[in-house]
Amino acid sequence: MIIIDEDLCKGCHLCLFMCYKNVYAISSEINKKGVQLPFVKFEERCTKCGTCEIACPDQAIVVDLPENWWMKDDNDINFNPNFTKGKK
Amino acid sequence: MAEKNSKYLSYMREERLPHIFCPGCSNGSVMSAFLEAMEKAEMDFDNIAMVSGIGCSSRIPGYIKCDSLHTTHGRALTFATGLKIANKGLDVVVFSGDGDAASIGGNHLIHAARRNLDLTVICINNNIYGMTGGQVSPTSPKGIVATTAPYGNYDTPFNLAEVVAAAGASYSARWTITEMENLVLSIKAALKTPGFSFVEVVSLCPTYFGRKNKLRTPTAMAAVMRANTVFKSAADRMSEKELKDKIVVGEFANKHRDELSDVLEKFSVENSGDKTVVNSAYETEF
Amino acid sequence: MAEEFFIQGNEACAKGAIAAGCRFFAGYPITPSTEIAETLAKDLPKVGGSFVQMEDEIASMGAIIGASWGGTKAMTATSGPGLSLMQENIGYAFMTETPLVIVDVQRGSPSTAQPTMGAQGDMMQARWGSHGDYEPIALSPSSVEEFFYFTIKAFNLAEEYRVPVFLMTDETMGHMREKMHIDESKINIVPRKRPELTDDYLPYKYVEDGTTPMPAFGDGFNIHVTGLTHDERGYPDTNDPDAHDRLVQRLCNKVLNNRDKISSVFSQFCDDADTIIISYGSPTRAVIEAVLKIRKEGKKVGYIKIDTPWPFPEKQILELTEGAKHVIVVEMNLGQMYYEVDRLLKLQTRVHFMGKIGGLLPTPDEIISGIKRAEGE
Repeated sequence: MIIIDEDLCKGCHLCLFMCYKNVYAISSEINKKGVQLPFVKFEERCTKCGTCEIACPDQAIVVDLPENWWMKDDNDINFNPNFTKGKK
Repeated sequence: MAEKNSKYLSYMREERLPHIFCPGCSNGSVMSAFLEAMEKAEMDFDNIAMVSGIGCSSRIPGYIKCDSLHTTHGRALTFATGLKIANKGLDVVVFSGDGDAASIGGNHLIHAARRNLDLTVICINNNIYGMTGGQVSPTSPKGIVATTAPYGNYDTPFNLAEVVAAAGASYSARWTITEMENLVLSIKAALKTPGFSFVEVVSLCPTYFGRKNKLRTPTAMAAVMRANTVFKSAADRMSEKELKDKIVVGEFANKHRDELSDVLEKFSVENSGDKTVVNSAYETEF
Repeated sequence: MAEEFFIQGNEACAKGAIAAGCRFFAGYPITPSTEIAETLAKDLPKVGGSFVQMEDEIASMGAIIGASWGGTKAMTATSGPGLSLMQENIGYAFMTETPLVIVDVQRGSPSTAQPTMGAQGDMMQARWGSHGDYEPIALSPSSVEEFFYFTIKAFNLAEEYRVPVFLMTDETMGHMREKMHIDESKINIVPRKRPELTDDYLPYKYVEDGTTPMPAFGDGFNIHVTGLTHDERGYPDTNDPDAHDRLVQRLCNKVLNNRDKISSVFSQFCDDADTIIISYGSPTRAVIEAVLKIRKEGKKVGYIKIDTPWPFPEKQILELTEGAKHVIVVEMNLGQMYYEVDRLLKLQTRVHFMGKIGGLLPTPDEIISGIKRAEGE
């Protein structure tokens, strides 16, 4: 589940660039602030890595992570929990 | 169960949002990356004190819910030095820009690194003076166009992360904004390192850097930045010619050295016994 | 308990700082103030404090502002060239209402000039050095014992009004050795007021007397301290003309409204005097000698020693010089406080100037001939 806060988004589209799985797309409509908002087009592709959430300069994206996965193992420095699943 | 607001907003002064940064400005991303790193490092948010100088990046502490000191241009590190020594228990984080840290505060930067006081410095290097309208900065690459370099920048840029590593810092690293995962882990490492830790974040300024240099959108700038990024291990095997216009990312220093506030505390304990002076200004008896 | 020392001025200042509760010193070596740093480097660790030698005076000033917000009384010592470097951060300290003490052991000026000679050329630098409108407090001692007590007074005033306080002394005073008598019962320390953490807490609340209690970093107040024009919450508000006017007026008024309480003078023989000499700092010593000598000749001469050049003790000087025909200002520059006295008294008396530069104190004989010249005019 990905939520984009329309009030905070300034329309830089860095989320499109940063997303590894090309989840986002740009809407053709312009909102009242003059921003072409991004929207989630392919949610099934999302691995919930959270990169877009951090990269969003305006704190406008919320990715609903299943849990605080980084708290689990202090030595696990891998970023994406879904990538490490196969290795373990 | 989805939270409607970003988890970062709970650490921020929400009444001041949206912040003043331009669309696509990396300052907001670095702020999120810092908050993420704080969470990962399991740091106490009540114990954080933030210090910054003047510039776009120096506005960040004003948006974070903590004790923050927004100081004069380039002098943030000196204020942080006093604050950390006066109250050793605080985790002092300094946000600064490239003009702030490399130009007007260059002297303070190398001396803070030399002293190796336990500070975490995050330098957001957008290669330009953003707040004053796009002047050339000491880290601007050769040849770029800026308002004070209309015919192209003729100066050689500073290599900040290496300067700080050479000055003796415990931790020094450089990442770009497109290396978000590494950046977060690096800030986490910097927060955990006792001693002076420096993280340079090469970032985007689409409004002034991009507009003048034919990279109008944030995504175009980010794409060029990602294409020019070279990891340090790969860069070590590359020739100088190959490295032209490349951004070398990685850790430049990660070592253990004596930390200044520990040394000062040791002096005090040796000379005066177990006496603490934290918040001594509020006392009447000495 | 009383103690006696034979001690140098700069060392007395360092002792005074420790007695006043100063636990942080940041400085940069500069003649003639270095002994203050040297003494504190030795003595501060003995009381649990910290001494840091910074890379320059700008950094020293920054470090003491940081330490002051860290909850420690802090001070720095410098001379003219160093004070010039500090000015930007001094302005910052006024804007953010940071209590600290700056000792300026003045030397021959301008520029590098005479590092080992005394002068009083920085008086206006202390008043107007940083950009913008602000009201500084400055003290000027004229003996080693006074240097000790004025250092404590400087810390007390800084904490009471939340302003940087200057201690304007000179090389002569800094390097002079004389007997000092410390009476511990005379030492009075003003602690910093701690604010109460409530839901509607405002760090820069507009209060009647202008000074709000100052929180320390790490106490949970989550304050934002900025040199930009800020509102009562401390957040930048740079486009509102009223906000700026209200803030700067308050910063100035908290000193100006208490001017009569802060400023002080010491005077003798002024009741019947035709001629009054006004001085401050070390030249006062020669002035007293000259006045005592000339009074034996039957001339009615008195003197006023200004303890606090800033805020300028207007009320006291106006009262004391009421019946005088001549007022002579003696100082070691080419006219700084003279213009301040002249502004105040020009409608009622003749104000003469007697300045001496070159590094030596004016001698009593020089002052006596100055008095005779002024009276003969």
